[in-house]
Amino acid sequence: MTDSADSSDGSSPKGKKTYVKPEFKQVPLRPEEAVLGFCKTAGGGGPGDSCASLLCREVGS
Amino acid sequence: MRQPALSGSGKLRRELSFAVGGISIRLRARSESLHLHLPPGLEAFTAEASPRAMDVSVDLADLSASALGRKVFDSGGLWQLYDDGAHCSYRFESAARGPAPYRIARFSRDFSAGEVLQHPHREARAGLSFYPLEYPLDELLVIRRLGLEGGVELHACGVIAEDERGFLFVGQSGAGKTTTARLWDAAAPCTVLSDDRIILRREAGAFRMYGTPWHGEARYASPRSAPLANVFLLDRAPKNRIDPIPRAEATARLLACSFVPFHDAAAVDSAARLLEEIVHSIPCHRLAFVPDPSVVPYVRLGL
Repeated sequence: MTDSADSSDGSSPKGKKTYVKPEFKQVPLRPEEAVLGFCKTAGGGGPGDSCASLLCREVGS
Repeated sequence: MRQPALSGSGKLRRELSFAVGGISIRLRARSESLHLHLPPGLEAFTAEASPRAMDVSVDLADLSASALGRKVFDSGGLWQLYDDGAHCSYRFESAARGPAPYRIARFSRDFSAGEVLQHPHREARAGLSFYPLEYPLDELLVIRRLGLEGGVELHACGVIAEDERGFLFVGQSGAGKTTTARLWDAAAPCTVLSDDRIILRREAGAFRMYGTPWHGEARYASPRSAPLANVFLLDRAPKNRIDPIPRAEATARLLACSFVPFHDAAAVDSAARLLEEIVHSIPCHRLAFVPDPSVVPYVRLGL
């Protein structure tokens, strides 16, 4: 196992940096999880369950 | 006179306090007829209010005609955020509860103090106790204060190993956080802080991870904390494998798994900087894993 891939400076033995072609990587963001918009609690605060509040009838995502 | 009965397993009180990830919150009922309790998952987080506690007063009110200022953000779910220049207000509504909001939480812009007004519901009318920061309000308040204090909450499982090192396993829903929590709990002497939400804070020049009450399916929720030693970004795979990950990709994946007030550019910027610092100072790796007990010794021996 090594440390993070870009932790070295990418230098060649002669001291010149080797060219690495830039690469795009998409990282998915899930807004329905990120904004805490839905009730997913069971009276204990856990988002993994459905709401147990007497009045709440929301279904969590 | 009829004595109020307990709603939930907590004690009946007019004032209570708790702390999550170093954020202290004190709740006070304004009227004598109101009673508060913490839900079972939060009881372990009961703590004396700190001098910097968020002070929250609680009352019942008719919320059908509330002026809150400009709408800043709509979660697409239960709540919308408003700003009147001096206060931020979370307005909670649900079709199941009628057209009027059922709760309004109005806070100073620094989230040091505020009030929660609850539409008079069945529990409160009957003199029963209730929890005014019902999810997701408690978590929303904590992430706002974290953003101001240099912290961030992540979609992650946190484990404190026998030697007190903190291992963080990060991933969105379905990545294997709950599975990881169960496997570590069964295979090694350790403390699982949470199987779904972990708070990271910078403290005295180092990074520390905290458990939260907002657990996942396996219901792990501990108020303990530990120094952050290793970060793993989870991927399911047919074979266990620990790989290096470019720092930019690690930062992006951590941000995508964070609970940040995305409507607040300064808060997003602050979280991104904090995560970048973490990636530069804590070993971060991609952990591709088989969801069986073999992954626990693989990680422990590989470090």
